[in-house]
Amino acid sequence: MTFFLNAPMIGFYIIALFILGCAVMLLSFQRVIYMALAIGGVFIGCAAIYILLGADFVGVAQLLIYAGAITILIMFAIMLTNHEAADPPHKWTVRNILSAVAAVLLGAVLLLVIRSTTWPPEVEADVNGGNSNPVAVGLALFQNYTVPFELVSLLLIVGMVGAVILARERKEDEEE
Amino acid sequence: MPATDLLHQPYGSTMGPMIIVTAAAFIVMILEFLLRKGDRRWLSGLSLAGIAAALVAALWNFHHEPAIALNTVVVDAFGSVFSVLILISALLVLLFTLDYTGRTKVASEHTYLILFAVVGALAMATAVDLVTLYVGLELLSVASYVLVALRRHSARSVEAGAKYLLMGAVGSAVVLYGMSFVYGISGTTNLIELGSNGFAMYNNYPAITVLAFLLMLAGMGFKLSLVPFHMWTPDAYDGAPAPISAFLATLSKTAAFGMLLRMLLFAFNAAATQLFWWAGVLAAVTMVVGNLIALPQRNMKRLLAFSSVAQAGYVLVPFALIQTNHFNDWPGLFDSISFYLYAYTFMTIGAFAVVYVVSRARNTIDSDALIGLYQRSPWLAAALTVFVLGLAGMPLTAGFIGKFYIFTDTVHLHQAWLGVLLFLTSVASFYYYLGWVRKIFQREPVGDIEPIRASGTMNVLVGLCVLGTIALGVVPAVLLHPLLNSGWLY
Repeated sequence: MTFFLNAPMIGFYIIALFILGCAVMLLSFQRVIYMALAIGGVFIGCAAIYILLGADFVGVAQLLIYAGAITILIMFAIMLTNHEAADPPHKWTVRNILSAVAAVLLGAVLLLVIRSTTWPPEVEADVNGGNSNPVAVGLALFQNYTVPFELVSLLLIVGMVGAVILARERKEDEEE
Repeated sequence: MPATDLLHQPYGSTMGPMIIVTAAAFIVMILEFLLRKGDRRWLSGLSLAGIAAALVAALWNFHHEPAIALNTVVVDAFGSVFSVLILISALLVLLFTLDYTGRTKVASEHTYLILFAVVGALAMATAVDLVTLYVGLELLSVASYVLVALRRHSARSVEAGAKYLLMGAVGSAVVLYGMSFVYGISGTTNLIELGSNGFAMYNNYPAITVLAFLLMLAGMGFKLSLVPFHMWTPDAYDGAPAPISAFLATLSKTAAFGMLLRMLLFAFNAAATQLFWWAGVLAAVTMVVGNLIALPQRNMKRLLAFSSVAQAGYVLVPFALIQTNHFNDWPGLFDSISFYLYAYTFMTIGAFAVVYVVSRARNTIDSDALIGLYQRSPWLAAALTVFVLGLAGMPLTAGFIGKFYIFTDTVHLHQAWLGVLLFLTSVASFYYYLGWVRKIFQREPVGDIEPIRASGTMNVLVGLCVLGTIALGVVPAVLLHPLLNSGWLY
């Protein structure tokens, strides 16, 4: 069990445990505001993983945008829309038990397959191709991934317009 | 890639239709802000013109040599066949919407949301990069979630939107998880590179490759509403505005099938014999379950939803046949898939249109509303009969030719059990389709019969769909001939 001994691996297991803990808490909390806090934990953990993998820029961006902006936005939305009502307590119905069994099975299959695979040996080459990390991200965005980058801007417009359509109150949209 | 190369790429041919539709969408969006309420109706005309221009560009591409731009977007027969179908269905759906919004008030932004969704669909048909395909899929999906919930004041529409959003998000996540494995073992998201070293991938990492294949198939299964991922379908189709149901059943499925085929074929072609039989299992389950749960349905839109589940099963059969060793047979399978999708599109949009007109006039969505339709409107009755018989697979309609080609493929490639299952489930489907035909020609017991009149737009739409259904049924060579003669893949 040599791989437990190197520092990044230990770091990874601690972070992974933290992310999983936050994710389970997100699912098991009954009040929405606690869920929002738990998802903030998940975002911070993911940022830590990115930094561990050498993608500093993405990690910091994740921290700023997701852990900072999006979590706060979710919490504002919850506070402004008055979500006092908590979910009803969890009950074990037949459907829930079946779903749990299916989820455990799926998890077991995934884990077995992933553990039984000998993954490609770790590439020693610099993932950033000799550039600093933001430069590498920029080059990838504007060379290999130009088309998806442009399409994402359309996706953002659709998302924004869609949210406005669904949320606004306007007389002329009334039916009949 | 040096910077100058960015300027010398075949953008016009590869991304032409996409660029035209995007431009149309932005122009419509800006004019929608500027114009006053009364002037907005001709924006639909502008969107129709945009789609028609893109259709011309896409048809023109049939004569174009296969080419690639930025290693991401290609022009080839495969992409053109799917792009043309996507644009034809967009045209029909926009006509449908034009009539629908004349009667029901919905947010006027839907026009350009549909156009943006079409851009996503076109990207799914022409991209050869996993990231681009995924972004296209999300663009189509996010626009569809909003479109389904467009009638915000109807609880059913909002519920449908919420369900579709949740299931769609799960589907996207599953596809993305599968893609992440492919990237993890190959180090590239480019399908062309993946296609050229596919052998190494399956030989070195068989278990992960199977897992990635299944995850991608299952994730797209959510979008295509294959059994067992179909649970959202009846609720979403029933709650959505009628033209949007037609949109989900045709355009969205065509794009998803195009993406699924391109993705699986390029990434897993080397291991086709070991992997594609999974699609056969899914096809068999979908055909059987889809047809059986449709049997007791009385709500017309829900029945069409289950029928579209079953029809997706038929289209999946040729996917299973890709497991053959004879690569020369693959183009024939692509023909079967695209021909069936063409036929299915005309029949389904037509059926949704007639059901909308009838349910609107009779104020109920129950299939009893069809009783006496022959006396109320002989034209609509005849049209609906053509669509329904086509969906069932009656000779002289496009549906029969499509099923016949898939059936002969199964026999030819020694997977006759799938063909037999296709035949048996089609026979079962005659029960509910003919149930409609019986009601259409049944006499209304009470004397008082008001005729049903469809608007001019609806008559044009239904007429086009009837024409498509019958023309492809009587002279299928019109479509099949150009398909067979084209260089399929880049």
